[in-house]
Amino acid sequence: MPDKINPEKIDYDIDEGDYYRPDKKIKELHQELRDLRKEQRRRKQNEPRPNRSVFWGLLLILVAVLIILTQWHWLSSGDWWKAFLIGLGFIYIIESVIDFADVKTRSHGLRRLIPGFIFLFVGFGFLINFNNAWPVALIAAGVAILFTSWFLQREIQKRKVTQESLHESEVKYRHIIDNANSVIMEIDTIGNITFINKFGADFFGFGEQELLAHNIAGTILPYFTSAGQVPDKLVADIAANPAKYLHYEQENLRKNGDKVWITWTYKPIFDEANNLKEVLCIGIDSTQQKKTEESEALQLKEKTAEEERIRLARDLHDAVSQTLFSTSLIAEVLPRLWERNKDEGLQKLEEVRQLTRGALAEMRTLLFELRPAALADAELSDLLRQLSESVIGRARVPITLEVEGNCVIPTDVKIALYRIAQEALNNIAKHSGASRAQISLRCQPHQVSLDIIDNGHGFDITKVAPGSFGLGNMNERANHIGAALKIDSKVGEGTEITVNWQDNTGEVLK
Amino acid sequence: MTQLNPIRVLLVDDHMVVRSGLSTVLSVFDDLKLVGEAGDGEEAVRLCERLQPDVILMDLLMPKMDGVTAIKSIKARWPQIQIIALTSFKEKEYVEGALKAGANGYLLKDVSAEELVNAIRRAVAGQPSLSPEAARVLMKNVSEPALPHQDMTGRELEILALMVEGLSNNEIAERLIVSQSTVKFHVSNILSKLGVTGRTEAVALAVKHHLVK
Repeated sequence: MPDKINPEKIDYDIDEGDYYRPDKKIKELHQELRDLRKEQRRRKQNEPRPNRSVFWGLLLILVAVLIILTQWHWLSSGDWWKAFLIGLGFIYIIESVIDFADVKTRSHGLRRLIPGFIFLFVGFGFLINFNNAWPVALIAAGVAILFTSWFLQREIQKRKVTQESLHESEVKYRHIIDNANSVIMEIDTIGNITFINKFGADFFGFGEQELLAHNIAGTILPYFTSAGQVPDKLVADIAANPAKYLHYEQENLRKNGDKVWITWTYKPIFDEANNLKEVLCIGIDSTQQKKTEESEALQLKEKTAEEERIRLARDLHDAVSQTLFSTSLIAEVLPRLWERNKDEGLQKLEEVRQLTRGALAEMRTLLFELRPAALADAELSDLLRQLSESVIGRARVPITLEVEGNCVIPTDVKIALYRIAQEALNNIAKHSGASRAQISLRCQPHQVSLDIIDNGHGFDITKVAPGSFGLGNMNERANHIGAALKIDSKVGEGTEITVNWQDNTGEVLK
Repeated sequence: MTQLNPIRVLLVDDHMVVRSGLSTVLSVFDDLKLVGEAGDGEEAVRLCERLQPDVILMDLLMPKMDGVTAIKSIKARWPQIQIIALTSFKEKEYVEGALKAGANGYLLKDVSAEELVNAIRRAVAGQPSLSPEAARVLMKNVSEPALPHQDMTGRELEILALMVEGLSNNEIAERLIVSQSTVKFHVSNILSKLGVTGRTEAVALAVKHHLVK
């Protein structure tokens, strides 16, 4: 358990952000830290500090030249080494004061204080011919050492307190991270998982060790999501468009293969050189929400379909009433008509027959709207006959129906073709002004083509809004079954609608 | 029965099948003559200009221009043309709408050929025809106390319409860009004008009496 790491034995280094790795064994962690510190030291030593060196070098030379020029007699008296010691002492003390100002080099600075004091006192002692210069220098050095060690002790104590509170807060954060109700994860630049909290691992059904150092693709992300996204492009895209990933819904995978939806916050972390270092990922399970949304969308779709059916039913009912009203009028005046002109009477009688058949067909169509499941059991050719009869009755447009072959097709294809024909015939009845129309249904094994043509006034396809005349509906239905729909029309030249469907599954239909 | 000047009739209905039945009826009677057919209100107005019919049989629910609008515009230009509304609807707003627009009769599409022909003949003589259902609607209208909504302001009607849509005061305030307290004030006025105590009751009353569109 990573919690067992003894904080006293490990020097945490928060600057690197790398210490927090529950997967590493303690020994490894130690080694790593040691290497890290070595590396840091090396880096620090190699850091060029030209400004300070040059400054001191120039200053020393300047002082030496001044002394040589002004105090030549004094130097030649054999006291020059005393001056040298004093100078050296000053330099050490100044250096140590400069180092002391910076927290990072404070202890280093303190250590320099000791030789500084020694040199200074020994130099001065001899200079003023103080015979006891050596003991005084040693006392000074001792005081300096005591002061230094006292100060260092205080510094160490301070650091220890800081470290303890750091450790405490680290434990606290770890506790929060492990118990958070979110997936918290870190991935590197190629999508390998470098950290995942317990909740996350549990959520995806993996053990903690199973995910670390593994790529997200193939573990918690399918290689190809249903949205067609390729996970290895994900990290690059996160770095390029961070705003897009602040609230990002993604389909993820559990170990057992269950699909889950997660709302992620992907945050790319860059280093000083602005290169992508890692990606911090915080995810919240949104599967339930997604399911609710999907079922709501489905409900809405069903509701829309229901409303559409009700509208159709009302239209049909209206049409039946009109047809029956007309039939009753004709039937009422038929005896008078017959008396005046027998031929005309016969002709009207035929019309009455057509109208009643139309009303009958309309009623049957109406029943299908009220109980759509019944469509599944009906033959497509019968359905088309019924549609054409109802239009003959309603719109007084003669329609011929040609059926070739025996149509054995899946139910959804049959229903789609029926709906397309219904839409087309409604257009013929309502808008086309046609005096003649023809429906052809040609069935071959695994292939059906439906052709509906009229001689009405047509329309300009390029000028008609996509949704009008139910053209959008037709397209949608054709797309749904993978059929090719072609609408051909010109102003004054009628309209032809062709649907071709082919069975691509290769299955033998019964 | 041969007449020198048969009654010239124009048929207006978007259902081809109805026009076909009506034209058969007209063809049987020598005193009636079909002079034209129109599939919508606009076409009807156009044909009137040219044909100057004596009587129009007018459907009410049609594309492009509905029957009530067509009646208004025809009556405004040619008041001598007699118009009989012939429709499947017996709702109050249709009956009232057609008669207010100037229709000389209101028949439902279950009328017999004989009644229809008589109505056309009566119309030429300046006598109105009403189907029993239409008459009942009008009578009920007279016997029922007038609704107190007449004195509602435009804003109040607007807010009532939003209440019917199911919006809360807050939502209405947002929609109309007014403060919530303003909406509250209007709503309480609406309630008192309708003589109801609750929001639901007001909405029910509004829907029942078609106070809002």
